[in-house]
Amino acid sequence: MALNASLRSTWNLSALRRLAQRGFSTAAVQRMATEKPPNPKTFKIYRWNPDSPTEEPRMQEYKLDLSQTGPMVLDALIKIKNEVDPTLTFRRSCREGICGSCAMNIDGKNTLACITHIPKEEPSKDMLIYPLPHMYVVKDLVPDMTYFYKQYASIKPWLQRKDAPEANKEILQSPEERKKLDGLYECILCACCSTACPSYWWNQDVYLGPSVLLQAYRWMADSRDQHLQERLSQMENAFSVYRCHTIMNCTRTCPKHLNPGYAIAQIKLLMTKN
Amino acid sequence: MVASLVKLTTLPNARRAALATGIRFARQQPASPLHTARPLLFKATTPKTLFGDNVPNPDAVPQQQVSRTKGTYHWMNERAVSVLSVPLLATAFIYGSHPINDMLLGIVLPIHAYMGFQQVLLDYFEARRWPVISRVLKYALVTITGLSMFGAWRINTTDVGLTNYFSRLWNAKKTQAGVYTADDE
Repeated sequence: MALNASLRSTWNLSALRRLAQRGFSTAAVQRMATEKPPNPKTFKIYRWNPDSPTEEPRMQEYKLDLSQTGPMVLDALIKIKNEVDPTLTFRRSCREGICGSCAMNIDGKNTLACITHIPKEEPSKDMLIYPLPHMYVVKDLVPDMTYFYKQYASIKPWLQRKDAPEANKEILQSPEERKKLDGLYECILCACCSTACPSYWWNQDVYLGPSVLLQAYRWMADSRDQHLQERLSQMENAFSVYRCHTIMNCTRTCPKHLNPGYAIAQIKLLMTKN
Repeated sequence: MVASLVKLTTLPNARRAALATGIRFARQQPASPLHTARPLLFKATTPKTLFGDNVPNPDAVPQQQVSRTKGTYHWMNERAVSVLSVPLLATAFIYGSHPINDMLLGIVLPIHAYMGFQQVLLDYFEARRWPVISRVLKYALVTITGLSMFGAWRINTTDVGLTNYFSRLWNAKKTQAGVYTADDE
C-alpha cells in the first residue's frame, strides 16, 4: 500500500508512470478499479459433487461486482473460488489460451474461460457456465477427459517411419510441405469442438470426433510420416470418421479459430483417392 | 445391466442407496498413464435416456473392423446418388415429363432417401443401444424404400408419370367441397 500511495503522489512524473504501468500493473488495475462505479453481474454455475451422488446437479448463483473483477470469465471463476466459495471446482492452468484446461460451456458456447470476455454491456443478463456437454462429470466444471485422450492415443499421434534417416541427418521438409501443417499443429486438444459435435454426443464410444480427427489429419498431412496407408485403413469403417455429417459446429466453436471440419473433409478426400 | 457394471455386495451403503434410486456407475477404470483424475467410481447418469441405453465408454478404444464397403464406398455411393439426381431433377424441371427420366427418378430418389435415412438410423438407433428397435427400423426402411420404388414404377407405367404426378400435386387447389383437384384438367 505504501508503494501504491507513493506512486499515486508521483503520478505526474511520466517516467515513473510508465514504470508503474509496466512493472506494477496489478497496482494500476486496483487503482482503476476503485474509481469505477459498481457493476454487478450474476453467474449461474453448474454444480455437482461426487461425494453426494444422489443429489441432483444444480445451478448455483454467484453475484460479482465486475468493476472489481478481471475482464475474462476465468478471472471471475478464480475470484469466486478465492473470495466467495472455495468448493467451486474447475480446471485452469496457463490463463492465456494455450493449455486448453479451462474449456467449458459459457453462455451456450464451448470455449476457453481464459480468453472469453465477460460481456459488460448487458450486466442484467446472467452468465451461464456449464462443463463441456455430453462428457462424464468428475465434479462441477471438470469433465472426465480420459476416453478423449485414449481416442487421441489410438490415432498414434507421432511420426511413424518405415526407414530410419541416416545417422546425424534430419528428415528435411520443403516450405510447401511445412505449410500443410499450418492450421493443424496449433490445436491444443481442449475438446471444445468434439463436445460441440452432435455426432460425438450420440456415438462418443466409436466416433473419434473432430478434435482427434484434426490431429489424425495432422499426421497424414506430414510429409515426413510414412504410415499414411495404415492411418487411413484405421478410419475405414462406418464410425471412426464417417459419423461426420459436416455439421460444422466444430469450426464454429473452436477457440483457436482452426477448421476441424476442413481437416475431416481432407481425410475423406484422401480415403476416396486411396 | 447395473449388476454387470458394479458388484453390489462390495459397495458402501451410500452407493447402494444411490443405485436403488436409479443412478448408474460406470466400471472403475484401471489406472493408466492417461488417467487425469482420481479413479472415477461416480459417474452418475440417467439409466435410460431418450436415446436408448446409455452406453458407458469402453476401457479401450475399440479396434473396428476394416470395411471399405461400410466406409469409403458407402460414402462415395451416397455422393454418386446425390450427383446423379441433379441432372434428373433438372430435366424434370426444365424439359418436363419424359418416360426414361421418370423411370430413373423413380429409382434414384428412393435410393437417395434410403441412404439418408440409413445414416439417421446409424446415428440414433444403432444396434449397441437399441438391439431390437434398430433391427425393426432397418427392415422397415428397406420395406418402405421397396414400396416407394414399386409405387413410382406403378405411377410411371399405369399413371401419368412421376414428373406430371408431382406437377399435379403442386398445382392442386382446394375446391369448395374440400376436395383437391388437379388444376390442369
